[in-house]
Amino acid sequence: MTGLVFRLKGEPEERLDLSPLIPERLDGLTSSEIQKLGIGTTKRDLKLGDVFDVSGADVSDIRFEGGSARLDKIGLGLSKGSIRVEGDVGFRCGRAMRGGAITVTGSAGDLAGSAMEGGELVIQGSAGARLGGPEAGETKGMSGGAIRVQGSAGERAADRMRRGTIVIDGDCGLDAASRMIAGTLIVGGKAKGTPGRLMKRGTLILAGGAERLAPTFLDCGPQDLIILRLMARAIGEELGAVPFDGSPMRRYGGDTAVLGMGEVFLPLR
Amino acid sequence: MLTRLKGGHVVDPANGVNGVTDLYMKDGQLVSAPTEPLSADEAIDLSGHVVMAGAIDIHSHIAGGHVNTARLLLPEWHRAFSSRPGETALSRVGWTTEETGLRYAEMGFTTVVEPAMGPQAALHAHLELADIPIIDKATLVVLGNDDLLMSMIRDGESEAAIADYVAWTVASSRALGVKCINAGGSAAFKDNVRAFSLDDQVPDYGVSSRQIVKTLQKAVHDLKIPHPLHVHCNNLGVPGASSDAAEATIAASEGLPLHLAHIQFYGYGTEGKRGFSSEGRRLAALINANPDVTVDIGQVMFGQTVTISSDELRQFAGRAQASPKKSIIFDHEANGGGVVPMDYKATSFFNALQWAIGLELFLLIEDPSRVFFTTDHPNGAPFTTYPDIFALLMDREVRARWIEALPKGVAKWTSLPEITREYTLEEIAVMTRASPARLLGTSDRGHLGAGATADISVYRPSDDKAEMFGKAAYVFKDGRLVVKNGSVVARPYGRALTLKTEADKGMEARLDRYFDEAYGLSAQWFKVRGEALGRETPFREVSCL
Amino acid sequence: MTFRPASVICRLGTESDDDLSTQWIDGRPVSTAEAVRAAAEHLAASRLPVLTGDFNDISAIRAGLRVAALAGGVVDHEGLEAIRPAIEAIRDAGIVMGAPAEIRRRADRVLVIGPDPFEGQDALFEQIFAVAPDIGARTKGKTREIVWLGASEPQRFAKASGEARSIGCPAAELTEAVGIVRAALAGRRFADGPFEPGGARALAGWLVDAGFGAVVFKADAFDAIGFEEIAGLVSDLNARTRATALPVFAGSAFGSAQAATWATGFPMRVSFGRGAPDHDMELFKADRLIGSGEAEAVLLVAAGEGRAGVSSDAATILLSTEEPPAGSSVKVAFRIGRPGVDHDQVALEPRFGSFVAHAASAPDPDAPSSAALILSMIADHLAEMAAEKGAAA
Repeated sequence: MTGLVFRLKGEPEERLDLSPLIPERLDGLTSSEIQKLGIGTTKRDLKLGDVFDVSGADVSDIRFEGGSARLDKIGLGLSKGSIRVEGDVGFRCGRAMRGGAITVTGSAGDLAGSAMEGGELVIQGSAGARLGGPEAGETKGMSGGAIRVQGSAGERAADRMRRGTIVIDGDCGLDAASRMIAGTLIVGGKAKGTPGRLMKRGTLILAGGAERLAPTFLDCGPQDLIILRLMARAIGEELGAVPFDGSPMRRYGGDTAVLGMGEVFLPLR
Repeated sequence: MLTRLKGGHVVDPANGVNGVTDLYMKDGQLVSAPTEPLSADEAIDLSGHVVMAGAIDIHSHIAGGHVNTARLLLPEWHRAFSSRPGETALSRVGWTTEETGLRYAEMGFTTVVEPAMGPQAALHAHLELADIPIIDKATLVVLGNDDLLMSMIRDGESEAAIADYVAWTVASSRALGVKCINAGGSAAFKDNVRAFSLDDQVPDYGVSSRQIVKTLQKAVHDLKIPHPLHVHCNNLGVPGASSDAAEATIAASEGLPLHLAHIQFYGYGTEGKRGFSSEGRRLAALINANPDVTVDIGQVMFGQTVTISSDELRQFAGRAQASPKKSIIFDHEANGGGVVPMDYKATSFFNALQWAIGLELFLLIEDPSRVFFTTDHPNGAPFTTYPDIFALLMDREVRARWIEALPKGVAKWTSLPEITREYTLEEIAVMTRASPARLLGTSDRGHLGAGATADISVYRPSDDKAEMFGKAAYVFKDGRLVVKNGSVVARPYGRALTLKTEADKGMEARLDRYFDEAYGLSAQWFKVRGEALGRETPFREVSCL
Repeated sequence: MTFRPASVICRLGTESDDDLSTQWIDGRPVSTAEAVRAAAEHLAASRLPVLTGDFNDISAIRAGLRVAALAGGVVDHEGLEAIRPAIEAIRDAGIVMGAPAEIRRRADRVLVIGPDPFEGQDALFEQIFAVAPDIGARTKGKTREIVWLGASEPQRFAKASGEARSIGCPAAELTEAVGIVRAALAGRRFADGPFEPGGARALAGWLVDAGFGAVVFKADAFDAIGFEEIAGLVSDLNARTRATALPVFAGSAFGSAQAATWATGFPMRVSFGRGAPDHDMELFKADRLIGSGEAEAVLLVAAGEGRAGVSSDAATILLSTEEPPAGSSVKVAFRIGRPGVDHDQVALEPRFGSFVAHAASAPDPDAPSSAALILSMIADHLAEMAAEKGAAA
């Protein structure tokens, strides 16, 4: 059985809600039922068949041929199977996913991997704001699984993160790891703004340095920690080469405005 | 147009009717049977149905500053919220004025009282009420933590002067009655007092909570406001201290009527290794023995909800239990308040016992005309849980199934398993129709006699009472069919019921000065003008006794 | 259930079909009924219309929400971005906040943080600071002490009753200065940052020793994290003493957001594209929707002065207190009366902490209709169109 393929007919005029297109919800639907799924976000009541050509049948192996920044909520709540998008995606890709794998060959909009609990999300391009972060009002962000962004990420990545791992190979935008509760954020490039504001616990490995740290982060000096080497190896096995190798880094503790049990590792230089 | 409602089983205890009979309505009112029954322009066959007056909810937080703050605080529980599976009772309410009206109407409720309108938030509350479709609304205005009242008591001002101030507040805010909430407690909390009982004094004023309650009770009585003072007692939710507060307040009625709100939250003792036990039986006995007192329950049901209260002191204390962990506390002038999300878990000993205590009180208070059906929406549970509560009251087998599912050890701390009482249809009609109308002084509703407003709910009888009361077969509002088969078919706007009262001119002049000098506010700002609400008929006036 | 909010039935202004001087279609003077019909049809035909502007009247935003619901549109407010940090911080983390009137009577110590919150708010300043605290066993009769963090001189407070001093702090470091005070309060370590040695601990101690402290700041001067940091400070203080926050809001956005919250459950930005209200601060931003072409029709309410300029290329329905600009993308234009001047107005009053109904200050029977009335008429027309469509189906 070949994987299910959604081929985008052209740039959609409106944003699309593609949350129905996960194995859990597609399983058992006929091709014509799939064509009739409502995916529009305006009163036109757009159906899937208006926007995509559909082929293949295996719902556990979904592929989008052609992407767009208007394709929202791809893989929302995914718990199994795989989704691959050849191109860009819009907001909330992989939000609240619990398992399975999503690969985006292009870039993603805001809230990619928002509040995800498990599984793996790989974005080969860049990600928008609030990577892994919570929706309005939610008290927890990402609580499990792994996200890798090969490009850069927008503001407030890993906001309210509780568990899991995020690796950003490029730079990250303003104020990453804000209100972090626990978990690990690794940034290969530069962390802009003031990372770690209001973080209680958790680990930031900022291999490309940080623009600044708040005075409520205290310098604990250079640290040659076996745990860094173990982390580099373990995360490398899961997500591929990571932008730090476990050699000594300078450790800061904070944010003492709140609990102050978070740690930030910066290059020694 | 004369409409004949034919052949239904009419349960109208206010008029002593409980049997199959026809009703007639014309121009939004019930009318006597014409001498020639066939002269009706329209007949609706209700045979096989139960027909009651529209239900009245005397205590439900549906509008105003704190309610809206709860909406603001909890976007993630809105059912329409992007990608949030909205499956809690709270998410089913909908977070809007619109849905409030629709959901109530679908259950056959046609009048709902917002019981905690701060005088400064009166216009806000009325703007929201004006946007709630179908049902009629009313408000109770909050006094009892305000500087002026406490100062007047301290300074020994006359009962007449205090009554003038209360009358001005009711008239300005377009309220139907008066409520006091942990009298003096919010004021004391602003002075950093963290526990406050009936005989404690408010710092700086030297006035006790008891004095405030008694003063307001008297003023409400002297002003001939039909609804007695509506009291939210001290120490809500505190094991031991809560039941002491309720007991002391019940005893303080002293021959004048007093309404105690959400009594369930006071039914907590301190026995057992968890220090939490039921005082339901004892409170019910005290209420049974004191005919001055009426109560509503504030039943707890399991699931996510949010507590909304002007009891700033207790809401602040409740922050520690917030779930999700966030809250908003207000230091308003005069009053205060707080919004604290709460997740009542069926697996929690404490929450399960709270649930049981509410039902004990419902079932052990003997006179259904002195106990009112509320969840203190949304504090004990959202009003969308009402159908389940009707089933729990009317069917002991349903109750037994729920008790069976409680966490281990809860059943032995409550007398609920031994209680066999089942509410009859007539008792339900007393509790939710006849008696609330009497309590509020709204003689045009709560019954189906000639001259009554044609607010009528019609149910399809069922052994499953939740199903029966969850979706009314028909609801008529002012004679107009608004719900059919549990779905809204028309959505006219109701009105806010307001008390017909006038402020004394001297008090008017004094308050103009007072609000300007004391607070830098214009007294005119407290006045709700109907034209600001954008409705053709925003109000309907209710007469004093 | 699809959202079908209130019809503002009450006619809030005068409606005269014969007056051809206050509404235009493509620059051509027309009757009110014609313009209303054209506006409604235009909105109904649009895939995703967006309503935005200043909505300087609660009646107008209520009616605007109804238009959007019936037209499957989006509602935004031009002042929303400024209050967004407040909304986000409050709903994410909560707050303890107070009314200015209570702060006036009770606050013995006031910490002002950041840019002058009272700029353009003289009446509010006067209300709070004209007198000394006069109630409360812990506060009555005390001299009010004011500390302004982030100012070089406490000049504005020279006229306040009490004693004022300032602690300098660069604007970019205000949030962390608040964080430092929190660390000092909790006895955790911190670097001095903008404070002199010992300064942060002294400030923390000063706050703890307040009878009733108030922390006052300009709501739009901080990002959401900064706002949350300040709310966190106030929350921490309340474990030991009483303290309350007063974020000072300017403009009509927060009042409009409240009305949107009761009508839709959300403080804007809200889309009715699929019927039930949906909320997203980014996706439903009017500028983004128009810029990206996702929205192709705009309804703009411009009730303030000098605001009739329309920059977008999207076909626009303009409700303006001024003459519409010639040769723009404006398809239908309505001249509207000034809220609070020509017409009654309901608005959030900062001193009151709630809504106040203001009677028209210069009621003129010849004044153009209010925005609320025009919007109500458009909504009524949309409702009729929907009913006809329903009947035909």
